[in-house]
Amino acid sequence: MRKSGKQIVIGATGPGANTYDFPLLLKELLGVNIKIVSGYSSSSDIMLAIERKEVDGRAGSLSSITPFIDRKLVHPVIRARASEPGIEQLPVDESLAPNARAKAIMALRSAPEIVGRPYVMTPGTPAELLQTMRTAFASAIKDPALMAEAKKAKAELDYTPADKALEVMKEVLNQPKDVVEEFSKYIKFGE
Amino acid sequence: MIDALFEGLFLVLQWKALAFMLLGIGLGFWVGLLPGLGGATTLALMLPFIYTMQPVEAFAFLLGMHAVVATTGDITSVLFGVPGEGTSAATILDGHAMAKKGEAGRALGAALASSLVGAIVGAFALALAIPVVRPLVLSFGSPELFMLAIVGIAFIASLSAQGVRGMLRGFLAGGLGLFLATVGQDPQAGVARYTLGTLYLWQGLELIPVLVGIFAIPEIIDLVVRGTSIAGTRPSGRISKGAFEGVKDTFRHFGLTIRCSLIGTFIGIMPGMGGAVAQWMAYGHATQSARNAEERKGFGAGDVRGVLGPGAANNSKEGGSLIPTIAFGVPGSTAMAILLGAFFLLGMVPGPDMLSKHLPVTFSMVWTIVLANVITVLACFMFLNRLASLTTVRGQLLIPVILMLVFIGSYTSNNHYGDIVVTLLFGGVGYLMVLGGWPRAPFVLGLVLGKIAENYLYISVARYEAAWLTRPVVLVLIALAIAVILYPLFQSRRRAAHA
Repeated sequence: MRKSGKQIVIGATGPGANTYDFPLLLKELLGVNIKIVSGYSSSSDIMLAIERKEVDGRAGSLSSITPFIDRKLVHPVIRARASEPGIEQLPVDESLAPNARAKAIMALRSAPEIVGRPYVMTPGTPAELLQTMRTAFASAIKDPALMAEAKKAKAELDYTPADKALEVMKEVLNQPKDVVEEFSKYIKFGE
Repeated sequence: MIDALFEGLFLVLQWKALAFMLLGIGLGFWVGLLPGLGGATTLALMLPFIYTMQPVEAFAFLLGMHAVVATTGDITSVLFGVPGEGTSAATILDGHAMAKKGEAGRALGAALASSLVGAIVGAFALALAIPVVRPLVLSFGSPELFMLAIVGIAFIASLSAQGVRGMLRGFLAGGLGLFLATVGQDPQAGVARYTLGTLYLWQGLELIPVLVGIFAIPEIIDLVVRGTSIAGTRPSGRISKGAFEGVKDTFRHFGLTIRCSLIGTFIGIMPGMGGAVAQWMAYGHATQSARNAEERKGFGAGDVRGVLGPGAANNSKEGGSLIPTIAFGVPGSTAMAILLGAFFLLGMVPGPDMLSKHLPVTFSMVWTIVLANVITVLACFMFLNRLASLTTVRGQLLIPVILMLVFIGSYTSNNHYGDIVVTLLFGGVGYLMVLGGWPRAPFVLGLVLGKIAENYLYISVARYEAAWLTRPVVLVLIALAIAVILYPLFQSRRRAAHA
């Protein structure tokens, strides 16, 4: 993409959303010739814009783009750190980063995608209760009945263990000040 | 194509699909009557029940429910001036004015009959348009959608009173609506605008609390001040016998009903225009049918054409709005977004196949909308006159019930007390507008279309810079917008020449 020199027009909903932030970092940190057109009301609205050739592509979760990949309307070209079966071979944005700071900023942006939708408990919850809940979640994800129910409801269940989620959170919260400041230059929300 | 059309009908008429459709209609009927409890909420609540159904049965159930919500939503709009749905607010202007003149039965008859005609015309227009609907939708990019919003805003000229003063007030009211549409987080830069430091306003002003406030509160105050029933001192006998007259009105103004149905279908097909736009454009077009200044003044004061236009457009847009949802996977409204969820639950993928390989299933959806409306309208006519009699009940007895509907209706938008505050605030604005003779329709049109226009203008400029202005469809729509603005002027000149 960088070598082709051709400008790629990416549709987005707005700042703060992955549809905007992911291509923004590709543009600012990797130097890809991208023009972001934001303001679309939803991801599906952007897909329609792709279909009528108003924009060239978009960023988003694999599950929402899969029907359009199947229709050969779009092709996946790059992914963030979090992976899904079928796109493991794609280049990861962080691996193309020119320096450690850019890599850290990209990792920060993708942190929520690894954690997903966390279940949290209030501060002061007894350690054994926390452990019980963690074990319950770890066991539930192996429960065939739950998986069958999810399959029936066409729901995807991906599990990130608490240790992994905590590790990601610690990485996010322990970033040096200069990385946080530069991250804030790009990723803005509700100012 | 014809084969698919009939195959679709037979699919819906299978006993299980028909039974589920009737169940859906029953639910949708009551949901439509209750302000605020929108069709979208009910669709979401009913989604878990479709797991075990076949696609045709599930869509008969969901669409049967959704299709009648717009129809019965008109009932509270006419009787109490409380919009049953965000999409039935335009009916209030003349429908409730007719109820106050003792013509509630006639207004209800007209609203329901035009809804039926709208649903049928919309479905057939859609069936005929299916071969061209994909290229049609794809030819409307952001610049064209922006101009379509501008054509809608141009209808402010028709919705304003005659004369320079009337026009000025109309455009100022429209400007206020456009300004208030900017409240909330802007999607381009993520900046929070005019949110007064509250999180509630980040998502902008919700339409339902504003509509309920601006239309229903002034009517309640008026009812309190008058101290009579809604229909005043008119004899109840006449009020409760007008339903059939309303049906006759639909056929007296059949051309208008058809045109408004087609407006609804077209707006429905256009992804991104939203459900609330069609009724106001149709109302604007209905006001253009006034033949002289006297007739024009009658709009807003109980002209049956002001009921027929929005009634027809509201229901015809339903068939149209299916297209972007099923052919492109782009839902045009919250209800359609939930319907899209149903597609995935049933293992179906929206896309071009729905207009070719799965065309009978698509047609079965269109038929569901038609049949649901036919059944609802016939059922409604059995007790329409009794409903109309509610306008003869003493105000003191009705006001608590209407107030409850108003506050439940607005609160259920976000389940937030901010909704109630917005309703009361805009109730005050609405009352002052009524007192000062300021038109409310241009305000609502500005509010509804403001965000749409802003978004598409930004995208058009960001994507094409100034080149979007030279696109052929944009040029046609610019000409149309100018024609819509100049039409009232042309009309008054023609009248002067005839006089």
